[in-house]
Amino acid sequence: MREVPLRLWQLIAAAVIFFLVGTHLIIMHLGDILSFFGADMGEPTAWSSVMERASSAWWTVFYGIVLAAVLYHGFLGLRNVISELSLSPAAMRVINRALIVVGIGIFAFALYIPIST
Amino acid sequence: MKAQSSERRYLENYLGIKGWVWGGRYRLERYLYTLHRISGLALLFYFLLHIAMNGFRLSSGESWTSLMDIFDTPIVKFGEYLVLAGFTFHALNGLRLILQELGYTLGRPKPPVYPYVDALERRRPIVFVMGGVIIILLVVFIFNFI
Amino acid sequence: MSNNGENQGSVSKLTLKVQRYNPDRDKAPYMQEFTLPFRKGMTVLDGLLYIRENIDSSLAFRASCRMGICGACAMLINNLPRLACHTPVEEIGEFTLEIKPLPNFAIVKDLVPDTSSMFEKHASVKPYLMRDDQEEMEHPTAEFVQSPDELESYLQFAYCIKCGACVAACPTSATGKLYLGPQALTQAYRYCGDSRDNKSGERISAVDPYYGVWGCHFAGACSQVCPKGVDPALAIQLLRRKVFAQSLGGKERTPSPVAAPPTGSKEKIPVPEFTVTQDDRS
Ligand code: HEM
Ligand code: SF4
Ligand code: FES
Repeated sequence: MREVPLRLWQLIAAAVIFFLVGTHLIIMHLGDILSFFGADMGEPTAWSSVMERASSAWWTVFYGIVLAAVLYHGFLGLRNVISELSLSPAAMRVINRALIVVGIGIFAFALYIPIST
Repeated sequence: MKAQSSERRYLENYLGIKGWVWGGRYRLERYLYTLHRISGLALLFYFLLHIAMNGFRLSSGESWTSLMDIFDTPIVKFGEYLVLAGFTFHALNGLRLILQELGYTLGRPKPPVYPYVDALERRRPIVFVMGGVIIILLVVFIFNFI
Repeated sequence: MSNNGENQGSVSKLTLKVQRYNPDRDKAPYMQEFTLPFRKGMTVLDGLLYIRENIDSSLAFRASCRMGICGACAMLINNLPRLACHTPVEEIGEFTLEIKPLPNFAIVKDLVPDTSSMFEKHASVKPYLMRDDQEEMEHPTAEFVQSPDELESYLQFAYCIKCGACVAACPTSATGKLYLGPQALTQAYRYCGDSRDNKSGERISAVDPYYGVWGCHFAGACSQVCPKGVDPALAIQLLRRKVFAQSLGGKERTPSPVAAPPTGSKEKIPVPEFTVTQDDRS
């Protein structure tokens, strides 16, 4: 299989993460700085605001995209790092498949959280 | 006495994983590579942890709230800062890598005239600006944690 | 060689700590210290030659041209891969040097690395001109046209002497035995970027697997140590750009044409009789 498409999507995912996770981090972790600029988000980790986001279709789509992008970018990155260790092709095949299965599993589980609550 | 030498196994001399981290007297970018790799793997680890934590929401609102209360300590705050710092570095350095690994901002090949200056060194200002932005952001972030 | 010009300046002694390993005798490499007279302008290779001639004739290292052309004498000098013949001791500024064989290759003996893996990878990227007009390639009628600009777009990368310093510096080569490495990838681009070539697709398939261009993370160590100013890191990024471009539907270039047969040029200077002619060679 050709390697280019994998790497091209990794870069595209990185660009997506840059904006979406950037937004997420500013809202969740930089509340004080945001309110300094006059944008008060309330307490982002309070149960009520968590539930408010979880029930919004927009936020669910947002988190779905973030999840997919970060899992793809991160797991492919991990696989790239491992692929430089000169493991046997058989071991590499096992690792590749395991990462795909685990990645999809985590995606499903993590998306289930905002959908079900 | 025949062709013994061709069967001799030479001594392997790979630097190994140590060679990813330790480089000897190399310049800045080689260590940015190391840091990018470490920050990427650390972010991945944090991300998985993050998902597991959010799994607490499945049981009940109380367990989520009590988890958030447990996390209201200086050590976790510091960890949160580290995650932000790691992300900031990985994101900005990653943006530089995306551009440069696609061949942008590097300029054209130059005939090697002594003393040799390579593309990375000619474009060192890019790294300095990036480093400057990262440091400024990290300092600004501190205000959120005090 | 050691007797003239000795004892210039204040320093008169040079200490070389050399890594020794004899596969027939030693279980593991060890360091051995040699003290020798320092001479102004002396290179590290001069020091090693002095040891071999005057102190220990069993010291194994490779060198041939002693002028940075053959690429045989690359070794790890004070933790940086360099050509021994191209490194004056004064340039390092220390008079105790630690000399080891190039890492990321196997050791044959003492300071001699086994660089055959590099040459195999070099060959695997098809480092030669490939064109559609096979007939012209085999029975050329004239040269291919190339402008100075087109020449400069790859010329820098053509100066590689296959010394292996870049491979020794590369962090990916430190673990990735299959990784093609800066040397081979640079040569892949040297031909992909040549306006006379139009089969870069074949080279791109050779460098597309995970152990090809993708092993490069732009640490830039190769370009820092290359003794010929080749800048492998730049070549690899340009190569990666070509790989991406091709996967997005980029087309192969039309190769530069064969030059028109010269008209009205000066008469050829007749070949002198004492020169070996084509016929003599076969
Ligand atoms: C702002 C968003 C991000 C950008 C712009 C970005 C960019 C990049 C780029 C360009 C690479 C390839 C580096 C190379 O060729 O050596 C990379 C590798 C990697 N990234 Fe990211 N990244 C981002 C976010 C993340 C996140 C959130 C994670 C964690 C899940 C992550 C995990 C990784 C890993 C594990 C690697 C492989 C490291 C390596 O090969 O050395 N990245 N990133
Ligand atoms: S690119 Fe430079 S360092 Fe690498 S083998 Fe060629 S001459 Fe040596
Ligand atoms: S002896 Fe030829 S390059 Fe040093």
